[in-house]
Amino acid sequence: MKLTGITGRAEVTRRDALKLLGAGLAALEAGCLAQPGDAILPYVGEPPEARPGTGVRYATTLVLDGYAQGVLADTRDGRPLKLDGNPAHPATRGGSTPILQARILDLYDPQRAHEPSIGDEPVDWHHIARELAGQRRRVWLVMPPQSSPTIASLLDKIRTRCELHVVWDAPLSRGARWRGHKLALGEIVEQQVDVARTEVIAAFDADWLAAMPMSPAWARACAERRSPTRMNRLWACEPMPTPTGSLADERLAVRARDVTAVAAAVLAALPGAPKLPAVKLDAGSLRWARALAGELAAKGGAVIVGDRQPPIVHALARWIDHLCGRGAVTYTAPAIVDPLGGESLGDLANALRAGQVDAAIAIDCNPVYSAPRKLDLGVLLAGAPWSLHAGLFSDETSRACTIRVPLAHELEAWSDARAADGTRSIAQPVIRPRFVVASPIELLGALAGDHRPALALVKEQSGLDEDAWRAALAEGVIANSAEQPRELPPRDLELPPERTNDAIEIALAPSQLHDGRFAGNAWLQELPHSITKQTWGNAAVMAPATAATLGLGDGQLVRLETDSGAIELPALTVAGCAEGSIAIELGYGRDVPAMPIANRVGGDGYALRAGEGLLLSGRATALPEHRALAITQHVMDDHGREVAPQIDRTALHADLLAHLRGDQPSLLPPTSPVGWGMTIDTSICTGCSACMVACQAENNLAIVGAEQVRRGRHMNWLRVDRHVDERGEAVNQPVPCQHCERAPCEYVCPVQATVHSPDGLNEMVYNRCVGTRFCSNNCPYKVRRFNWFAFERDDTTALQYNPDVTVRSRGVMEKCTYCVQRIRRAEIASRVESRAIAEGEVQTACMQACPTGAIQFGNLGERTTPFASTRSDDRRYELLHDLGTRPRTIYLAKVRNR
Amino acid sequence: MAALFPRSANAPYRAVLAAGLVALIALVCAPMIYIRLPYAADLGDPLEQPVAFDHRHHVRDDGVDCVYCHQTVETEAYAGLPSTDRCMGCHGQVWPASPELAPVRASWENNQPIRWRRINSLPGYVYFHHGVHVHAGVACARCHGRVEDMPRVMRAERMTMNFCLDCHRERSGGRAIGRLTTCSACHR
Repeated sequence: MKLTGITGRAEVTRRDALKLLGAGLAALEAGCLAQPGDAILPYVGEPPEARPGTGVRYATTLVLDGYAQGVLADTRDGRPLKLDGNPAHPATRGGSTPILQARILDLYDPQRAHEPSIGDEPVDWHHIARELAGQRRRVWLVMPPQSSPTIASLLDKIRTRCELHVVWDAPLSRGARWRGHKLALGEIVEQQVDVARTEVIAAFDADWLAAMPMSPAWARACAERRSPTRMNRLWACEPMPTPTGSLADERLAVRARDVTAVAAAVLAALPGAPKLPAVKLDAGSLRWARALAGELAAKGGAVIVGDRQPPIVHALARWIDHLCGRGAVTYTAPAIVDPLGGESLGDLANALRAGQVDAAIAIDCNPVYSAPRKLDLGVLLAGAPWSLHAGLFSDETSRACTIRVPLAHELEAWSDARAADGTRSIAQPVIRPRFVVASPIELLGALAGDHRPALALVKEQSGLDEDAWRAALAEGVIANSAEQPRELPPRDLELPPERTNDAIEIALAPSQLHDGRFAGNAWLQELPHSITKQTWGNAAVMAPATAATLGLGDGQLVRLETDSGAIELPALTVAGCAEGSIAIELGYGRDVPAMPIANRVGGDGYALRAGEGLLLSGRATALPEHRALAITQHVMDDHGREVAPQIDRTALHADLLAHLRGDQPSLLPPTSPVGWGMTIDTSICTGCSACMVACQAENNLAIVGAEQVRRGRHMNWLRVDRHVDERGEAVNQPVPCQHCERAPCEYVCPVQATVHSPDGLNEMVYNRCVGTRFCSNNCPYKVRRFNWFAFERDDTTALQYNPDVTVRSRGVMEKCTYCVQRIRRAEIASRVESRAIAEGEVQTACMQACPTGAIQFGNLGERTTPFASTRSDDRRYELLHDLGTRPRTIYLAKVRNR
Repeated sequence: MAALFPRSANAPYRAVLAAGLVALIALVCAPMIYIRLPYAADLGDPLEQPVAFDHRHHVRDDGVDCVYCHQTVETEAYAGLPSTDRCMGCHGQVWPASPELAPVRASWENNQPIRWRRINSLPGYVYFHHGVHVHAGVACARCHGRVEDMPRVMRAERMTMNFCLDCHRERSGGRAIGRLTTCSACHR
């Protein structure tokens, strides 16, 4: 009889049999005794940096839409566990985005493609490499935009061997930006904004604080200018509320197609502007535009335009920058290779149809899903004589190709990339690939007949000597490699003729799944949307007035039609949307049976597109059916309870919020203000939700699925609430456990499973918990989460688990611990090194991820840190102060500069 | 009506009742007692290891310090096991052809780790850090016994929560919850 699973021994001896017998009744006690006999495997030859059980941190680079984001990868015993922004990298400056945080999960996804295959036959990678090297005729290559110098030089090498056609496939194209810059400045350039120096920043349909290549760094710089004593002015006009709009001092809801008129009106009102014809604009928008122009002229400022706006808006904005930039706006050569070059997917379709393609290669993209449906790319690709798809997952495009190669995850391969300011950085692998995979550089190397390993290619391309190479790897950036910024004068402009268009606007937008490439990522699927708080799907988001006109209610299906296609989506009303505009986020509605997380979640907005543009006109018809949406926050009105106060800067004074802080009369013993605490500044929280995904990665949080979210059983320890006041202005409020001094949960636990520690933490002891849920009932902040089911992960994704945090099982309550594992790690390190804990040494995962520094954590005894200064800020208040819970997490009220 | 059972049947019947009662109690108590026996916890019962490594010889005869092989014990959570490299550092010259060392040489030549068998392990929800204990002056022998006297290593202590708390309470001065006795000192 074999029972290896229990004892690790091959046979049951008499002794084991007795033990098993005893274990039956003494299960509780037996559970506390570990079983000896498991194998311990020491190294054969120990790597110099190996520290068993302790983290090693590597700087590396992730790429999104071609742009580099520098990250630090925390690895443990050879496994990367968590990613954070690299403080030395110009695009992140230590901050994160939800996608940056979540990319670690893709690495361990059990649904990843495992082995190269031709048809359904597994083949050797060398066989495919030989076939690639043999492609000497008309080769069509489809890949996302690239900034990698190595890839650029490989493409040049390939061009000497065959007739190469490159299609830069970017469903969220930046083409309009490049065309606009060419129009206004005569060159394709990248706009650089010195956010910290700029007094006025206007966003024209641009979510520049959360969804652009430089967003984490820009958000950090902007946050420096949002303290009431030194405050910039933020303006935003947009069709749907965004994180950027929620911070704006002056926000205008306007249809995306009307942004052109707004931009023209702003420019026309500036002194020194070129002659422009008058534009048609409603009185409110015109007033907003003139006020913005007045302020820009007086104080100087910059304009940031969203990628989906037409070229003319970018051109107008460059004029405004020229007149008001005062040196804060400069231009650099684009980091992207060949930004407006290459062919289109339409060209590829035509070539395929004409039989002029000998080899079609798609790397790291999914054009069959995102291309306009009328191209019928899936059928055409399937008819190509030789087609290869390299991707992390088996998706729509890989189904159409005969040869499939598993793509290396970015943490598994050598590469290089450039940030939007031109800074070069190296991507180094932090784990050995688990499957037979190839990276884009290896695939292109094979196509170029250069079979050297990617490391050799990247190192040669960098042109660095050994010392500089090692420094670049250690630092995460190649020193002084940014492009030289310069100023460019704009040229005369001509406005395109205005066309009145009263059809319903359908504004497509990137989602938290970006363009759909992260649809298989469960963390991002279950992350509540920063505005609608919807999980697991998208909706037709519109203003309440639009919904009333169409006769729609929340959750009711609406049929959206354009000339290219139609989809059905549940409607969702959001205050602050522009009337007549419907927003649909992209990346949902995938048809991928091999990716159960992504398959048939939400509706596919790409089906409505005819070409590259994301701003469409169409028709909307209400349907009788309803869908239950998986939304985590249903009420955004605080019913006058002062949960999230908003103050104008001019109205702020020291005692304004005094009634929301301090002790309440109590029969309970007095509290002691020592230990740890947290301050959350709602003034600079954009609601981007990077903190939530960081918490998920750090604390082994479970994913529960749409059905459980509908039942209110989501497991996030930290949620970001959105409160909207009567003027439609929003406050984003992250709510973790408040670690109350007089914690209501502690008084009702019958088994002392939640107790107070001497350093002020409200501790949750999983092994004592019997699952009465009394604590959750009694928690006024509703931050406790109960494990209704066994949500543990499969063996593969479990490799990402943080070994410092217990994985909870069914029937146990859990909640934010203030990242107690990090506190104890710092305490232990300080004791081992015989020193005191440095001020600011302990950072919670949410604080570390926050791009704006809205979350500050520290010891109440600290005197010098930013955290220490927040504890005496005039804006501080306690959440639900009237309950007398004495929370250790306090908030700073939101201030708008007006 | 005459009794169904003769009077002589009472004694066995009572005996069976009593035995049943004893068995019931034993069923509950025996495993509880058993689990507390050194026997159940494998105390003093060495495991068969792939290499017949003798701590007595290395520590007593050769005077090798614990930290020479368990390198990270003073700084890290894990004490660390010596890599094959480290064994061969000496045994490349000392006893290079000994049959006892054949598995070490095989590991070295095939680049395959030696599969040692774990003697002590703690449950997953206990986070023990060797470095901080060594730093606090807890001697190795306090938990591991006198390893230098063991021809083959065996468990010396049961390492229950009570065992840990004895020390932690002593050092935090009593039963009031302190830094060393709060739950998150060991459970996270």
